[in-house]
Amino acid sequence: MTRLRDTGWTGRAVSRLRGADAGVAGPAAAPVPAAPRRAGPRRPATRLYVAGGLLGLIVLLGILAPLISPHPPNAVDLLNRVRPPVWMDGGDWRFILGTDPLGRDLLSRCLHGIRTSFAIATLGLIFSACLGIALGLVSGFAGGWVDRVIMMIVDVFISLPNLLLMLCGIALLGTETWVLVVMIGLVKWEGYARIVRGQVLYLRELGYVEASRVLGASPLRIMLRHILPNLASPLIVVITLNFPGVLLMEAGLSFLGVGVQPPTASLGRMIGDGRNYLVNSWWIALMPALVVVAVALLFQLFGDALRDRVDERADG
Amino acid sequence: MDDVLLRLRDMRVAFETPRGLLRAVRGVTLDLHGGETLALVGESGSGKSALARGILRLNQPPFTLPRTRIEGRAELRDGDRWVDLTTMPETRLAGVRARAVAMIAQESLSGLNPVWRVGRQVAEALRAADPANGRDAARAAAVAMLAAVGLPEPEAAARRYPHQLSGGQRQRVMIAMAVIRGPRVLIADEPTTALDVTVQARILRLLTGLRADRAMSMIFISHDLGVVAQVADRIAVMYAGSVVELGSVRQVLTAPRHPYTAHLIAMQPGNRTRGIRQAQTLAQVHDPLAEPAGCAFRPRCPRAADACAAMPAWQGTATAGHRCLRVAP
Amino acid sequence: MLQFMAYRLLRAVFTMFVVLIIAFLTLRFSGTPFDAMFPEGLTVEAEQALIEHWQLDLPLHRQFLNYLGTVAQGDFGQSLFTRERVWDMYAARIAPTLAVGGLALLLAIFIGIPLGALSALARGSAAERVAMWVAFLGYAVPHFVIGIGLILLFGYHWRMLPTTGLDSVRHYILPVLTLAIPTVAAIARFMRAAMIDAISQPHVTAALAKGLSRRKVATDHVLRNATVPLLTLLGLEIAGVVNGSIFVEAVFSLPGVGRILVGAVQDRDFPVLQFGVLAYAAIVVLISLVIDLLYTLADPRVRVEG
Repeated sequence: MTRLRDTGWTGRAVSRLRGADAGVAGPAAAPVPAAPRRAGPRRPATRLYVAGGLLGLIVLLGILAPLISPHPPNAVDLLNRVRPPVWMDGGDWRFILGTDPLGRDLLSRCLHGIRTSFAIATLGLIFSACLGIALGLVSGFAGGWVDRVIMMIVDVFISLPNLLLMLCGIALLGTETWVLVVMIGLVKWEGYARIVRGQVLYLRELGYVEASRVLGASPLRIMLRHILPNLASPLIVVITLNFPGVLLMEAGLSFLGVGVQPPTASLGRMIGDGRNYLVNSWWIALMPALVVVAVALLFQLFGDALRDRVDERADG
Repeated sequence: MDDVLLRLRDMRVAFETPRGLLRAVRGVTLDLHGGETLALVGESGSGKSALARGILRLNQPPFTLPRTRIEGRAELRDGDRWVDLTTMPETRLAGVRARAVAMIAQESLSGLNPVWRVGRQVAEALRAADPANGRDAARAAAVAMLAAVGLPEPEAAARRYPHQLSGGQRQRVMIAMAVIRGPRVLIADEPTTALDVTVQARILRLLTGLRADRAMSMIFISHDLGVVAQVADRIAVMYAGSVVELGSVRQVLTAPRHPYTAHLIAMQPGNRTRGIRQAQTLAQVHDPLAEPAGCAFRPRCPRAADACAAMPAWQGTATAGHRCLRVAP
Repeated sequence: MLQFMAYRLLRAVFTMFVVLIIAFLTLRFSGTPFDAMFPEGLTVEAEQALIEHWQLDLPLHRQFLNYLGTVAQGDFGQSLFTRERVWDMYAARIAPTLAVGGLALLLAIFIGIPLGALSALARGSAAERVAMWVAFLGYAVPHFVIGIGLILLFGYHWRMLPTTGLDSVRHYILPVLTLAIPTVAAIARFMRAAMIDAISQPHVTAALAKGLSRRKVATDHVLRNATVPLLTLLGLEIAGVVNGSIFVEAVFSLPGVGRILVGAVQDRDFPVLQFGVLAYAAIVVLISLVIDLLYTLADPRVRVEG
């Protein structure tokens, strides 16, 4: 997405863990204000459930896209080019949301576009989470110069311009799906690494790690049984907060024409292609745009509500 | 009385919380005389801070949703008239805070703005009280005040930032900020709690000296009777939002009448006699959200009786008295 | 403080070095660019001649040093397709990008900061809620979608404003708005959070206890303290504006550097791409350093601890 942000406000749990290595990043990276404390009755969790529920619905639609789409998303039908949505003149119930210049049904393409975007974003996040967690564990456990080197890499990565790097990677490696996933992974991993490393250091300070070692547990076992379960909550929060950014990043790249390539349906690409038809056939761009807006807003709502929840729990 | 400066009449302070209405102060009536030091003592949750802040309506930060309810009257003497602080418009109240009643808050160690130099903050206080002071005049006065509160090298100190000073030094700066305005009443909320013992003694000496020099009255809040014994003329003992005993230092500490006062005195380190009874009463702390039926101290009182199920009335005046049915007035 | 700045400087230099390596690798590992340049194919001799001409037969580290040398001289090569000098290409198009970006940033700062600050000071009021909803919408929706929306609304539905190119002052309105809206939202949200956080600090109530007017407390003790974290955000937002301008230029067909950058990715025109990466990184790193410097001025606690 166009915003490099990783700030905004982090949940207390996350920022507490982040604070464990604040010294490395320097003060400029640390002072992100925690979400404002609320004086007054607790906000009901309805925001969380409503937003989450709607998002789940959208994801479901995406997953079921091949089953519920009225048409194949790439079925060209030149007889029905540029049909407006059904409620307008010239609309047709077979193409509820209208068609694009190649006669492809917009509803089907939107559904498949949701599927594509979410799939790429999910894979990308999984990759970055794995990478980040692995490096964080190594960094925390190994300590010493290994730790310092990895943290310096983290610092550098934070300063690097995400979008430009992704463009470079895409130019070098092509626009296949795996490239997008890897690129996304590479620009997002450091958040996870720092959280995990923070937790490892924290547990080390408690003597936990040493005690387990004395009892004969292998480092892997320690990692799996003790460290990761504690991290589930903040990691989930961070993943949820990162998800929309990644999703929109892919949409943006596809919009520019360097992301998902045709004929695969992608919401960003549809908007990009539809840009030139805004005068007379505005629905070609508007329909996917509305989907993007809906997803973006719902995620924002969900993310805010989640952060509030985490903060309230942390406040006790 | 002629020299009463501040009179509180049935002051009540309550907070709206997610869990209900929290009555921190339940009807306090007392007088503050000119030139005296009145101590407010009690355990945490007794309402002493809330009361002091309530006088100046500083119970919550500015620009936040109002959740404090103040009722009753807090009247400050203004020549021949009395002005009620609880209903005064905010802008006038600011003037009172600047010139008449100065407060040294509890978190005084973080009551200084970390991004401004210390001297500037003291000067700011002076200019709030008397805007006629120009920048330079105020700066000079601030340096002089820093010297008066015992900071070595006041010129250099004035140019420092709060984080560059020690806890005791910051406390002196807070005192300087308050005293430089020439208030008639100084409210000091736990001014020595966060300091270690040697520094404590020095700060207390400073406070008493300044009070005497400038003829201020002081309301001194603490939970430490030992400290209070050194500085106060009169003591008001608070429990669960009410004043349970009020009198001169001598009388209250040597011949306490309310059972809670006796308990407090017994609990002071050095006074403690071993006893299971005392250990038990120590364990139960009053819950501020609970609405007591009758006397709030009843669950912990060794002298409780059935009659105590009704809230006992105050027996005495605004200068001295107590609130226990089981003891003679 | 010196220690702090020294560390920052070191990191900046190191980052630029890494970026240079990446840019260089992008150039070299893109394979021979000859396939794209000469789709008809080359004779072996012609290819060999070109390889020698471009010095592609030297060991990698030598090539890198050569590369550093040319960069130091300001020579960034030529576009693989148009044979224009890369520097000239960018120089010709930098002005519109700077204009739109600069205007958007100014707009965002002058609207976002007061918006956020006032909504923090007026908690619970209707104005606060409206402001926060506006900020919410602006923050969530990506640049290109906002652009499309504005085009539909102001360009076609109401036919008020032009939607392509930068030929007149009116042409600037929609692109600048598109670029500014998410930034305004981000700044407003952040400012509000920072102010609310500052308000809860004990020294604010202490300032009120000194008898200062609410206005003075707001400016001297709340706002002033909130600007400290705001600086960090501004640095990020500037980078965000640079990012966003790439999208805005695509949506509105503006003759800026974003267009040639995207074109370079699509065409695999690596010399053009590597300069874009370098310039962008240099800007971001420079801004970071400036922000860090300003930070030490704003927050005295940083100066001493270094």
